[in-house]
Amino acid sequence: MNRFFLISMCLLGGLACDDAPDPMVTMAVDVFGTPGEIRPNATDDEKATFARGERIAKRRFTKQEGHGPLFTVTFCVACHEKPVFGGGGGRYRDFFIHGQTLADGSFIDGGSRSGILAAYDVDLEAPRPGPAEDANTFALRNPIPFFGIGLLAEIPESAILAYADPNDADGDGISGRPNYDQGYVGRFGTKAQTVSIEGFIRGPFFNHVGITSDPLTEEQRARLPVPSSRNAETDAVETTTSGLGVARLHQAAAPSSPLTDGDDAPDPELSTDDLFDLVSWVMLLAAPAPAAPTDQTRRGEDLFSRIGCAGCHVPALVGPRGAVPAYTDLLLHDMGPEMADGLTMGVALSSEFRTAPLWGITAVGPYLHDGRADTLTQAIAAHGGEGAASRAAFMGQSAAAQADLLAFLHSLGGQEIKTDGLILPTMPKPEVGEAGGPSRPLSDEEQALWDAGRAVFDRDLYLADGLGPVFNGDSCRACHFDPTVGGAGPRDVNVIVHGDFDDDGNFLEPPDGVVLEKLAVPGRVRPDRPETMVFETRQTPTIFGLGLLDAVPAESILALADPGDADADGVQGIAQILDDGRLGRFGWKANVPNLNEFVRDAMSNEMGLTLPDRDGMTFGDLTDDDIYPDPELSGEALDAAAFYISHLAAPVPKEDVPGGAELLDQVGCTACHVPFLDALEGDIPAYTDLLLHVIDAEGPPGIVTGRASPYHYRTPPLWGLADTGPYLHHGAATTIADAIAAHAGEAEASRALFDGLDPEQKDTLLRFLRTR
Amino acid sequence: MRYIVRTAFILAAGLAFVGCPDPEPQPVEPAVWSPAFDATDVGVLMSVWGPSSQDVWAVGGQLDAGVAWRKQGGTWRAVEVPEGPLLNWVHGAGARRWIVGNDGRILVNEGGGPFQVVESGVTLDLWGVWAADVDRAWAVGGNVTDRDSEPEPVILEWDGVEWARVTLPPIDREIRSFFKVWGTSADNVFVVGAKGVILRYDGDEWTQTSTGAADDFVSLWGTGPDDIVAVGGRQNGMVARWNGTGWTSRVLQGEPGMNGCYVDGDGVAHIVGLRGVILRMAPGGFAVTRDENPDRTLLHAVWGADDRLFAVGGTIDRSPPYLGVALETGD
Repeated sequence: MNRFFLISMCLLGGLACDDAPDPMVTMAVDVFGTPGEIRPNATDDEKATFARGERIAKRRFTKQEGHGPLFTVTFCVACHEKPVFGGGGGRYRDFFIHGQTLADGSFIDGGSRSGILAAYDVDLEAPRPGPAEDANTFALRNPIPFFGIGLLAEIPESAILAYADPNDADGDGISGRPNYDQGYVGRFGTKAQTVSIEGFIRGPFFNHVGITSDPLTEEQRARLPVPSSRNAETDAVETTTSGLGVARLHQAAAPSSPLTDGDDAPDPELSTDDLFDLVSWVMLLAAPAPAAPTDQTRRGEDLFSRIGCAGCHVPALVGPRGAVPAYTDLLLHDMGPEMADGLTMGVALSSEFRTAPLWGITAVGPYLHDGRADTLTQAIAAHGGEGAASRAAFMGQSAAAQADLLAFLHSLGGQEIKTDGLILPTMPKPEVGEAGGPSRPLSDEEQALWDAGRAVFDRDLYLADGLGPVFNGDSCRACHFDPTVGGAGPRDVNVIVHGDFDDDGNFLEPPDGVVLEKLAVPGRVRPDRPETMVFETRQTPTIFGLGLLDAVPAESILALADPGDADADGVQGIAQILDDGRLGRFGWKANVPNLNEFVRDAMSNEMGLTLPDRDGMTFGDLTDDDIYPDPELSGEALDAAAFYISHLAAPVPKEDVPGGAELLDQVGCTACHVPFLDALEGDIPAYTDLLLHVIDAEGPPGIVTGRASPYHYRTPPLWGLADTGPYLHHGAATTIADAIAAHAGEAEASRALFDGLDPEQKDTLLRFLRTR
Repeated sequence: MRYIVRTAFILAAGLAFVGCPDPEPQPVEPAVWSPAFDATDVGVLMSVWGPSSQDVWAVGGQLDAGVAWRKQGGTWRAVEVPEGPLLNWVHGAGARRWIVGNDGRILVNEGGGPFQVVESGVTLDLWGVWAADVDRAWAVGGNVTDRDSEPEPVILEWDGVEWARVTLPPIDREIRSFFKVWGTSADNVFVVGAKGVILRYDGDEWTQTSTGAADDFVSLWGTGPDDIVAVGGRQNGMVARWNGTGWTSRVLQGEPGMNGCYVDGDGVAHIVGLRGVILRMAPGGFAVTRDENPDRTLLHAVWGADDRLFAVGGTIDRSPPYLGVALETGD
């Protein structure tokens, strides 16, 4: 702690003026902790509020609750989960801001969500929103972490403005100027375009989740952990019970208008009570606790200062609790044309960005506004403009000196949660048979392979690993994480496929394939919404138990097929026979024949990885057009991932519901959701026949895949239903009851029989399904 | 303490720089404001205007209940208007008074008679109206509140008989709405709108003028063809000056978004906005001074006559029901 104090005071003196620093300023206390946890100085009331706020941050919003109509994610911490809630996001949570750059250089936001180019529309027939018609500027953004921002919110404007040097009066090559939001010095966002945490939440909540809200009341603002209520008489911030007062009422300058949208849910879709809890949760997130200094980090810290990094990454700003070592001045700096994103926000120009805080930096990559840097070294190397001199100085250091500086950066908090994906080093491994655990006891050798596969599954890909150039996820876990790694995914990781039909009704696959990726690596733009006839959304199913389904003999599945409805029960069941004669069984169109091909298909289609060629394998790409050598995924990694997936335990019922299975059979659901599949190792209780059926010929059509018509989908297994909502292939059914109600076609009779059950029977059957 | 003093000095210097981007001319002296009447339960007041300081109109209300108030003989009283949605703006010429509001509502009053509903031909929200004379007027609006609908900015023109849509000129950006209209004569009319758009009508055709701005312009006023001020900005206050040939735009760093503007006979621009901010901008320049206003309620419009100023607003920055505020200067 002392070193931060000393450094901060030196820099305060050196940068702000030539006076000796004020020795009375001390480090803020009781505000540091493990990232994602509450500040140690929180009161009991604040702890309760923090817990409620975190629940809201994790809450999955449904269409009925106002989700959408345009959205990128379904919940707050979808983008702020890395490596713990309150953090940043992997590249699969990147998003685009778009708009129109005019001849005079001004930038006009595109669309109706502050330029955010939404990834999804709740409209199933047009699920991929397109950009504004005149858009000519697209900028990529990677989510930024929230750790400790309540402390940054408390920093008085004077402490920030003290470092402003807009005309570089001191001639050090570093200027720094404030952005403004509603007249107050901005401090949040990559361009410091937002001054208040309330605003920093309400805006993105609307732009990304589609949830409308009203501003907090003055009474609520008065109770927030960071002083946020204004005194109407004096125009100053009110003093809170904690005794903190903040010069000027910047936190009270939250967006002043109610937000509304055009969906059917009444506005506001988030109550101000919930908003209060959510804002409080963010305000109370602990600042990352710096590690104890070592000789190496001391050398690195010294170098950090000597080569000018601290000119912008000011070690500490002084707030009402004392010095806050965030390593930022919260000012805008010109980072040069190589970093320019084409956006102007407030007074920030295209190449101007807020100095990113460095506390906790080790745990929250990728780095820079668009996540273009996999590593801190790459981030430093990308600094231009005002950072160019420091970059050059760093690059000119010896490898040992560079390592010292990097060690210093890694020591600024967050090491205890550092991980390659989202599985924290402190997390216990799931036991055999548990969700996310192995399906059986493994030998040491098998366990090592399973662990390696799990790490491959969880790990966020670097750009240098060959991610993209267009992609949906940056890891397997990016889509399969509900309720734990290996599970299903919410609507915000839905995959969109598309295609056309000719005049004769023949399906035409687009030249680049049917998958319409939603993201692209820095420097690329996501595929535009094409002028195709059909868009089909596909929800991410769980892969628990996939190995068991892989082992079901083809004969067992084929025996269930009844393509001509020979038994006249109204239920057909078509086996997906691929062109090469193999039986398909995985994927919503049952177009993938086995688990290994399933893994290859996902690695290439969803992440853009090229794979090693394997005899008999036809899925997956062997080459792509990025700069990274093919294959981008090694055979060892591929094999480990396949082993891990094939040995994930199948879901087990959470509760015995007497009579439930009988009712399921009574209403005819088991005609498709066959309770057991015959396998060599015994019956597989997956509740599927792995065949194609039509259950909604009136719904939006999908694509044609092999024998699957636009309306054919594979019977999804019902095991894991308890943890794998939303439901149906498009994920538009929020509840199991919604999903049943959407059954028609071959399932028409069963749905009618379900409707005819008495309330107690319905309850029993739904409870049975909810606990699978 | 030395650091605090030093910081305060730096802050003061910084604020001076931020608040006064132009050294010439010098800021004007602030005015003293006080409540005009208790408008708390009136609903938000969106507009204030009148033919003189002794005959002043204010309109507003709730989303589903427009209201009009009038000051005559030193007293403010409610004026009966047909039931309808929120009323957004008032202006007039001769004995004719126009009021426009949400859902395409247009009201007219002839010589002090009752207000009548006039067919506008649109259901879009109308935010501004300005009359050049009794037979020429323009109203503007759009669909700014429904972000998920197709953008539909609209200008209507009254030709003495009916309101009709004006064919819009090409605009270099997609906008949802225009917000106000004002002019110096029927052949010199300006319309301000979203995303920095300002159109001009020269008596023959409408054209887009270059503003160099991308934020919303919300209102405008002027003293003549060579001196017009437009204000707006949502994130930060923004002003623009028209010198007869072109606009010069500035961000008012340190000030919130601005909603209303009136330029008095001395060329001093009175500008109101979020958080009850009232600014005075010196003639010909951009130097601003804040007027004292202890009430932090949003202000939406300002107007003056005979050395008196009126400003109105309300809690339109909150969900309904709205509360109103009405201020004035002088005795």
